[in-house]
Order: sequence, then C-alpha cells, then structure tokens
Amino acid sequence: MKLPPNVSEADFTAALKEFAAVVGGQWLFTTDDDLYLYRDSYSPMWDEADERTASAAVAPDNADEVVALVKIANRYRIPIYPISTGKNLGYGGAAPACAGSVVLDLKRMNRIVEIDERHGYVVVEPGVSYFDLYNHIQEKGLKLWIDCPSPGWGSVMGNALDGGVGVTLAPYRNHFEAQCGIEVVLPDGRMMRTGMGALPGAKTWQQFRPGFGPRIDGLFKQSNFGVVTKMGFWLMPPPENFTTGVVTIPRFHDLIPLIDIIGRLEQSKIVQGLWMLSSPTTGTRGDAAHGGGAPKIDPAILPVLTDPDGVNMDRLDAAAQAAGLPFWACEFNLYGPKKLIEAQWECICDAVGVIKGARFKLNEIRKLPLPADELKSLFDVGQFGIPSLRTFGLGPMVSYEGEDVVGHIFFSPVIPRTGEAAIEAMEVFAAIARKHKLPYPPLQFPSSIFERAFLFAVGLPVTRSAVVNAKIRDVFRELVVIATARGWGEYRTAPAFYDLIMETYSYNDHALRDFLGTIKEAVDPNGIMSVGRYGIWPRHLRDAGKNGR
Amino acid sequence: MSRRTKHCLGAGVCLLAAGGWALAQGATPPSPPPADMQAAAGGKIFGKWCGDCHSTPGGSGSQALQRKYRGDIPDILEQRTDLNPDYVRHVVRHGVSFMPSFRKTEISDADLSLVATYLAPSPGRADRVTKRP
Repeated sequence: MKLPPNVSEADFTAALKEFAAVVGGQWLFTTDDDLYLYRDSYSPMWDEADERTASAAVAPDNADEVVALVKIANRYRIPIYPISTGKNLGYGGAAPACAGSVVLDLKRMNRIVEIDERHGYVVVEPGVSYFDLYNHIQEKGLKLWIDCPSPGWGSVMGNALDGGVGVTLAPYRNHFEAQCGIEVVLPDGRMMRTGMGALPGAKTWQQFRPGFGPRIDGLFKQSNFGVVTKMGFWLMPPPENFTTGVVTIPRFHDLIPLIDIIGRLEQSKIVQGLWMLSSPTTGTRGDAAHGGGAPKIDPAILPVLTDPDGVNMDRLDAAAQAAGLPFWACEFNLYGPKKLIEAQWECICDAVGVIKGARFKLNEIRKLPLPADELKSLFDVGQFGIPSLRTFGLGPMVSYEGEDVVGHIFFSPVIPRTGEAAIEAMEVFAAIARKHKLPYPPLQFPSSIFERAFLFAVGLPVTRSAVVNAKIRDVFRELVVIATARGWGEYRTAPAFYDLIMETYSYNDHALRDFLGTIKEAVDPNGIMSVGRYGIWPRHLRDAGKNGR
Repeated sequence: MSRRTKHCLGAGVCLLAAGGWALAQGATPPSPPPADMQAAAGGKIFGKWCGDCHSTPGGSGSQALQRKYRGDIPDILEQRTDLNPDYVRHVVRHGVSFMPSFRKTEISDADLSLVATYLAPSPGRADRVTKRP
C-alpha cells in the first residue's frame, strides 16, 4: 500500500474506509491498475523514482460529498489533490504534485448548474468539459458562444483555475478573468461563496465581480486553498459575422512599430480578436490569405532558413527584399456586425498605414455560423467558439533523440508585448532549439493570446526514455535561467517544475512565496489541500518542495 | 426574457452513452440488450470520446495511424476489422503515443466494453464499414 506522506497505514486505511462510505466503494480507487489512470501520460519523469503518483483516488458526485471527503482528509491529515477533467496535458494531467496524495477526481460532478442567455453567463461544476458546454448550448438553441482552448476535452472550470486561455475575443480569452463567482470547499470542510454569492439569495452572483470587501477569487486559482465546486463564467453573444484581415509589412525591424500600433488599437478596444504573426519567408499562414495557399519557399531564401548556425535575420531580410516578399504578415480575426468589422479594418489600415510599404487585404466577411461541411474541413475551429481535439494534429514531434515522442510539456514564458522583446525571444529560444536539436520550424512567433503581454510557449518533447526525459528537463531548466535573466517569468508549468518556477519569483527574499505560506498555514493548518501545487507547500512538507527545485 | 435551464449532464450523458440501459458500476446486470442496441450505444460513446480524433482522415488519431501504418490498414478506427476488444480496452486504459489514458470516471468499464464491442469484428460491423465511403 502506497501511503501519503506522514500518514500511518492504520490512519490511511481508516480514512479510505470513510471515503468509500461517502462516495460508494466503486468510486474509491486503490488498485495499481486503477491508479495507473492517475499518472500523467505526459510526465517528463515517467517511471522514475521521483514520478509523482497517487496513493488513491476518490470521485465524489456532488459538493456535499466533497465537503464530507475534505473533512475526513483534514481529520486524518491526508493530502488531497483535486482534478476536474484531468486532461491538463502538458501541465500535469491527472497526477498530483506531491507523491502519495489522494486525487480528488471531480469528473463525475458534470452538471451545468445554470445558464442564462439574457445576462450571458453559465455556472458549471468541475467535470463539465468544453465539449459538454458547447453541446448543451447547441441542443438548447441558446444564443451564446463559449471561448475554448485546444483541446476541448478540458474542464471549463479547471482550465480557468490553471490560468488557461482561449482564442476568441479579448475579454473572454483569459478564462480566469472571465469568471464571476466561486463556490469553494475550504480545507476544514466549510463551504464558502465569493463575491455576491456570499449574500444568501443573491440575484447578481454572476453579474458583479467585486462583491463586498477584499476580492479573494484569485486565491482559489490553482486550488491551493480550497476545492472549487461551482464557478460562474461570462459568455458572449454569437457574433453575426467573421473574417480575417491580413497586413504585411516589408522589413524585419518593421515589427517594432507594428506591435506598438496594434497595442494602441487593443488598448482602445478597437482590435479585440486574436491576431497571429507569421512570415511569408517561411510560407506560413497569414500570407496564405493573400494568394489562396501558402507560397512556396523561394529557392534564394531556403539556404538562409536552413543555415545550421541559425537564421540570420539581416540575411533573411535582404533575401526577402530580393525575392519581393514582405518579411511579416499579421492576420487579424474580426468579429461582429459587418459594418463594425469594416470600421475596425479601416482603423487598422489607417493606423498601420504609417509603416512604409504596408499592404492590406480584408478577406470575405462570412455570415456565421459557417456551413457544417466547411467547418469540418478547417484545421481548427476554436476561433468560432467550437471545441475540438484538432490541435493534436499540429506538427507532431514524432521522435527525438531516437525515441518516440509520446507527449509534450510547455515552457511558457510571458514576455513584453513589444517588437524588441519578440525579436529577442525568437533569437534566444531558436539558439536553444539549435543547440539541443529540437525539431522546430526555423522561425517561431509569440502569441497575442493575452491582452497586454506576449506568450512565447515552447513545446518540449516527452518520451518514455528516462535518459532523454532527463535531457529535456535540463533543457527546460536552461530555458528558465535564460528567461529569468531577461525578466521573463512563466505563467504556468508542469508539476515537475512547480518549485523551480516558484523559486524564480523571488523578489525581496521570496516575499510572495512567504506570504502564500502564511495564508496556507492560516487556512489549511493541516496542510491537506493541493500540496505542492505551483510550489506552495505546508510547513511540514516543505523539504519535499526543496527537493523539487 | 431570461432563459434559464437546469440540466444534469451526468444523467444526460449516462442515458446518451448507453442508450438508457447502461448500469452504474456494481449494480446487478439485467439480460444483455440486443446486439444492435449495444452497437448503437457503443457508437455514441465512441463518438463522444474518440470520434474527434479517430473518425475523420484529418483527425489527429487518424494522422498518427497513417504515419504508423502508411495506409496498409485504415486510418479510421470504424473502418478497421482487426481490433480485438481486449486491445481496445488496453489502449484506452494505458494510452498509446500521444493518446493519453482515460479514467473510469470518464469512460466506465461498462461503457468501455460497449466501445470495444462496437469496434470489434462482427457481421453488423462489416455492414457499417461497407456503408462508409
């Protein structure tokens, strides 16, 4: 029997018996076969001694059962680790952060508690996936859109609690920022509601975020201080139309004014859809909108892109000029009434037009929804608020260092939303990729998914070879050092790196980590809740965290 | 006017997944349903959990199988006639390549058996395959 840390076999046995009495024996999992399902399929520590595996898993059906389970865990001081749909692949999956934790599997709690078309919100339980919510809205014929990440089997709530993002309009893309109202079971088993939900019979729980007094919703992001059992989210009305508009600019360093101009348009709420950078020199999308297909790479450009010493941007700039290709393309997703899209596009053209040589193309404005057959043919449909799993078909890394790739982890730094930072990040991360022979395209681009900063996520391959995985962990650590030295921090990471990343947030001798530790001791004195998640440990288990750094 | 609905997906999924007769684990099973009902129920579960990756040529699972078998056998699982139910159960519970494992809170043992039966060679299955383009 695998035991939780600092828990006797007698206590664990007694607790398991009480867990089973709450949920029914069939929803308590303790056999090796069943616990295999609570391993992280994308773990970069697979089968190593330090792989973090569960001692048991228990799956409640409702919030009352969560209350009962948390009270039992608190009494026996058993660490519990809530998961929602458990499909947070690349960031931990269904496995705990602290070996021996009991996974609290909330997938069975899959009710859409309330959905309100008039005010545009939904209240969900943890087990509701983006597929579930989308299908429910379609079946009921509700005039609502969701913002979903790829892939769609993720939990609406769990994705938000882990800082996840989507791809439609800016106010909805950052999922934790789109939440309004949380119901949470605290580590002592007491249930609490945040915001207006603290008022019995409140009529505006999902309509007014600030509530009364300090706004504490953020404390429950990452589930360090409680098990979230219900959460409200703001939804958007379906846009009438969609199109993309493509801007091209000729020179490499034109990126700097371009990002500044787009930033002002976003801050003014004129640009609200996602926009994607690409480079016609590599034939990537964006330019495709100009000619109905990705252009072939010019024979004069190819040697520059495939230079074993890396892409020299000055040479690439000159080669692009010689070939008559613009260096950058930027594709804007535009939503709404036709006249709004046209007005937005006019504003974009006016603003970006100050860059010499900028060219513009607005594609056909399409009425939504698009025909089903057309949607089927698209690589991704997330921009239409439709969940899918198509992201898994995106440029799979088949092998690395002679080993089959079975998954990925993400290095996810947030960098300034400037052309200078984008250029610097492209160069430094490309250098690491070359050094370690990572199978990436010659140019990688920052994502505009956040509103005021870039995300520069780098996927790293995971294999079933301990040797190769150890190398990848070293690469990850190298990336963290490089990013931290430049003032770039990660917004999210896999459990293997929770402590490493928390260590980088060290301003004033780790004041943030110490403050979180103080809250942890006050709210969770027995140290049972999501132990080790994102580097927050109870006092009696902090050595485990130190070992993880 | 505000449209509010309260809906239990748990019950909804259970009915959808197993055609109204799937049992919670641990309950006493009644007589097995007719084969066509089993196939229909298995097909619905397959569609919910597997279809996005494995039912179309562009699905990420189909792409992976194309890379693996290079067209020697169909990329789309419903067109395969060589899928042993035990193998299907093993892959769902252990994952393969990029496909992760699936927990019993996602696909119960009962539902997994229906999927495995749905994909297994059978006279009905042959009919299904021939109907596909």
